Amino acid sequence: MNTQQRQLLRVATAIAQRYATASQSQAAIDLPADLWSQCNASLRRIEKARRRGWLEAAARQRGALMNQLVDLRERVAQSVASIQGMTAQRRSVSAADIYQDLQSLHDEFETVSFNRHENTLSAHTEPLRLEGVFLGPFEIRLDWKSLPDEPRYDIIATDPHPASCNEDVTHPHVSSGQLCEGDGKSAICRALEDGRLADFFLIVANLLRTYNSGSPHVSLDDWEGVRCTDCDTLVAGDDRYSCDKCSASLCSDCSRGCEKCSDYFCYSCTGECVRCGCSVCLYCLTRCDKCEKIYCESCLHQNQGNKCNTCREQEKEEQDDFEATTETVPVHAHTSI
Amino acid sequence: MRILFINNDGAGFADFIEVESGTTVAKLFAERIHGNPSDYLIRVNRQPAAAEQVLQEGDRVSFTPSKIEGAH
Repeated sequence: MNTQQRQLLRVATAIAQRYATASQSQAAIDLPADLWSQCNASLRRIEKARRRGWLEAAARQRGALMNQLVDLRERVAQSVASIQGMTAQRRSVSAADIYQDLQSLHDEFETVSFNRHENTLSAHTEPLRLEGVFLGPFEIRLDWKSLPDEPRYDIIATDPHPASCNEDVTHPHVSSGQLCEGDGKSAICRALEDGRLADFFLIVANLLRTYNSGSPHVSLDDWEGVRCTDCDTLVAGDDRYSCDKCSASLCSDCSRGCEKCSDYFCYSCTGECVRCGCSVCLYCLTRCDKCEKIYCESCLHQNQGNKCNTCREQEKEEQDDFEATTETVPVHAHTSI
Repeated sequence: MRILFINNDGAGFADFIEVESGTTVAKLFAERIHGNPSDYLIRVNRQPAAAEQVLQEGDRVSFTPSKIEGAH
């Protein structure tokens, strides 16, 4: 046995000791009531938007509800696994098992390291590229002192290529060093509960190697930034605005504030009142029923029947002319036609 | 014959199970997993295994999906 193997055996023995002496106290069962409330709230918002004919808002809320239901499913699965874990008797974890697991990690990962002072065990992935976006290599760092009851681990981008809109997001499913485990949550919990450390590292690595386009922190399509709908320039997160009507992405230069409601809109969703010249959104604009020119609500509101001043004056002149003509035309002129 | 069977798919599962003598890795996979073997890392006693490898008493067999979807 060489020096490294001896050190690895010491770590394995220490970890096995953690499992042997771990508290048998069982964690409280956490029911996802908060998520269920969020789902109900989203459903109410969908109904409200639907009643008012806000189709885009309803669609956005349906998307939010879907994400909440996915999270709810994960939490339910976690609760089930937690109860199963309480019911099942924990298999004993030997130092030999853990040592063999740690040894096998060298066959699965490019680099495996441990720090006895910080009580951490790390496996390093190869540089990852998902759907053409280069994310770099990641270190999966397990705090083995937290085992087995309150396992903690971090995902560290060792050569980070974060999303342009959020530097904390180094991977579509990693934010601030925390992996959102999604479908892998229960399997990760079980692996750590059972002391199957190699399985834990493999599951986490395979999670990192997989992109779930349905539920990322930041979509890979938007990783490098988003194109401004109006001027087509690439917009980073800090400079990104969104049209309050059509949700189009905008740069700060193209985001147009409505002078009436103060919300922000894209070029297509705004217009200029022909009377007062103010720039207003489509929500605050009204068309003259006759000439169909655009007015802000306050300019057209001054007139009755949704007609602008010009059209009303024109109508009045036409009416006056007609009345004047009717008064001066002799009766026989009509009969001669 | 008793082996330690580990399924890292879904909720995760690890327990001792009874299998017939002469059971191969491929047969165990077909019986226990609904999927394509190429989508899984298959290990016997922590080492990559061939489909036709015959399992032995006390073997540790693990199936780990190579694609697992995270969330946000």
